[in-house]
Amino acid sequence: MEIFPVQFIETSPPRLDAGNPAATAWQDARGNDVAFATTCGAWHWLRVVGAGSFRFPVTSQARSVRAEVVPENASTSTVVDSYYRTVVPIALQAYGLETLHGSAVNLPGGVVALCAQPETGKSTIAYALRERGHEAVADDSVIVSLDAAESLTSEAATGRPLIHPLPFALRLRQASAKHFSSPSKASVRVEVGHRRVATGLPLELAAVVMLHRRDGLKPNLDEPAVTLRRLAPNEAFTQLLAQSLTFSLADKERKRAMVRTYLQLAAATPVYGLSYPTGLEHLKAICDRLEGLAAAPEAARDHENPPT
Amino acid sequence: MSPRVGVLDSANRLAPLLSRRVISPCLEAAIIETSPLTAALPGYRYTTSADVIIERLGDSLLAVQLGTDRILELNDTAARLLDLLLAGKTDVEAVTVISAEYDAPTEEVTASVAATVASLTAEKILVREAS
Repeated sequence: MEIFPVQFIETSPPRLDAGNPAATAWQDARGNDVAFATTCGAWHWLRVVGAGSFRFPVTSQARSVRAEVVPENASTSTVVDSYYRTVVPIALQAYGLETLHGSAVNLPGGVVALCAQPETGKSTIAYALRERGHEAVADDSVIVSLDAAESLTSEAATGRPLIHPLPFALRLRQASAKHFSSPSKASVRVEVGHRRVATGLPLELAAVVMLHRRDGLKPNLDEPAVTLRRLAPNEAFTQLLAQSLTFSLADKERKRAMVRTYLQLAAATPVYGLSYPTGLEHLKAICDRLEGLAAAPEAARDHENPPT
Repeated sequence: MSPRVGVLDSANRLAPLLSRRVISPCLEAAIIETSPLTAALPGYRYTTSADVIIERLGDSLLAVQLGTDRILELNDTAARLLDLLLAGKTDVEAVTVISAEYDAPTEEVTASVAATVASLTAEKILVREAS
């Protein structure tokens, strides 16, 4: 699986805006259109508003990503950042892998994916865990597969799902960036230069944690602020779907394969719900909880109920 | 404020697939008052629609309809009914089996089975086999 540098081209992309009913619109947390997607002939098109209209072939050999871009009025670094952060994960999903909206950290028991709605703190928590010495392996998108053929070695294969690390850069919102004395989101870019990139060695996915930040609720002093509970598989399935990214739902067979993958993922992978109040002061407790999960995952099974 | 470049905080998700409905004919519930005509079953056989994935996850049986993008979670009784129908039993034969297994009156089971089959058909989980 290789990711080729995006090629800048001059051509007329298809109309990719709100005025084209054939284009699927993607919104941010505030309902603003941030991207549009469509398929024309042999190309999938994905326009990232403000960066450019990217295209990649409908079919790919060995799931390699070769894309081209018709840039908008943006810097090269912005276009390249959009390519690795947004286009590559979606292209890989179109090619048969699955993509979860989240970050991921390599903890002692294996990689833990952190999934949540926007502005919940995925990147902040991943950053905090990295500050504790753990390796962050993904931000914004976590690429998942269940292919046995891509296991590390036949001897080491455990049947667990795998994640495929991509080039990424952890980006923090202003408050978190200030907390860590780190550059803020706007100035962080994924940079790989002009070289072809192979995805990192697949890593075994040990668990998925669905993050839920409780905003504005008065804390119940009788209950712990940070709670973790194991989700039942049926609940895990629907929550995984809620965090899935997909290029298109139009291809029924691709949709079928995606649903099957998430059903298998829900059956095979521990999925937890982590609930915590707003506030960076809770970050230590959150990280302690996640490190404890990695060290003793069975201890977290059904031990806590989520606060109301 | 202009949209943030390169950020897909809320990307294309399977939001439509999050519509869930639990089909729960409860054999322990009060007798459903129906007319004899309503409670009668036609003796049909059923199969799943081509767009359906049925999978047991833990204690739940899920049916995902890829055409309508709906997920249905069936309770134990509905799951048993589905098992029987997909094993080739007619709706009438399924009533006989379930009545025996649950030691429940045939009339109650007939009404529950009729309601469940109607729901599963309406949700395009089941389709009647051509006679």
